[in-house]
Amino acid sequence: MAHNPTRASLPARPTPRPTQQSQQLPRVQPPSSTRTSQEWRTAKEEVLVRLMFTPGSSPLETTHTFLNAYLAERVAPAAAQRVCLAAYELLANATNYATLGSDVVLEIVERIGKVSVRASNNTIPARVAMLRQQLEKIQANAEETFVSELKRSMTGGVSRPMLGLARIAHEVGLALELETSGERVTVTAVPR
Amino acid sequence: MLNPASLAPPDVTSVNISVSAEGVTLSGSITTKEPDRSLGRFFRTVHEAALQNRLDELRVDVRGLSFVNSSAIRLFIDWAIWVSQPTGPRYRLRFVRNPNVTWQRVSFPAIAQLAAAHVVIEDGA
Repeated sequence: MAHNPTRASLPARPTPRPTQQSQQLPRVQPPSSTRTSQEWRTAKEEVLVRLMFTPGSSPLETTHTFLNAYLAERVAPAAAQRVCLAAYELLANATNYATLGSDVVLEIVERIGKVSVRASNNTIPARVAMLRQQLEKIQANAEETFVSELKRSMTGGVSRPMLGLARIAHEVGLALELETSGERVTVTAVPR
Repeated sequence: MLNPASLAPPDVTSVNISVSAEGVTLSGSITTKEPDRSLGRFFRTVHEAALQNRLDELRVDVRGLSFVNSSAIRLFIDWAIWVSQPTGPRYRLRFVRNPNVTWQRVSFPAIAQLAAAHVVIEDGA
């Protein structure tokens, strides 16, 4: 596993993204029934917003305020609502679980008129395993996972409920994808 | 009935809170990272006042809340738990929601399911 003792470099600019998604990167993708189209995957993407944060910072409120205003002007209201929620929850997870000394990057990107959100951060392998497990549960049944996360909130389980990810899939209907490269983990919320 | 004068809402950025004799009305958005520290405490105070005043029902009007984070959803779950205690005094908790707001449409039925006997969901105009 690559070791990055200082700050992680920014992810490569996303234009050549389709070729970056090499087979060697472990990925969790939506099940075939909801897999986004090949056309969407290979389309050129435009980065609308790229923000970089320090782990442990508290950027959520101000970022939400900014994105809410920006997206209200830039995309349709329904899409803005979806993207705002996904951006908030992905950023919350990324800043919570990022290892110190690395950067958290939040991007809003557009491909053929569809807007997606991705957040990337460095983290420990245990967190990656937990995230992968969670995303697999969500992909299997988003609604069931959402309700089960609500119940975990109710019973106050040992581990932190991951309601935010379940909301992205169940509440606003975006598919979640996971990419990892060494310590770097990227979660993307994409339109189905 | 609640005494609004004795229930001063916390000052939370982006959320407007008002208290009436029947309950609480919230509007705006809840984006603060740890809403339990402010809103959670306030909700608990309102809950205790409702018990003290022997209310049959308390209205929590969330129609104007356009966005809440996951931590805020947990506050509503907590409230549902409080009114679902098997013993002692209790009241009916009525959430008034706007079904056109996605988070409200999706979350409240699930919350009500978790505390079915004591939580009512009302669709407001």
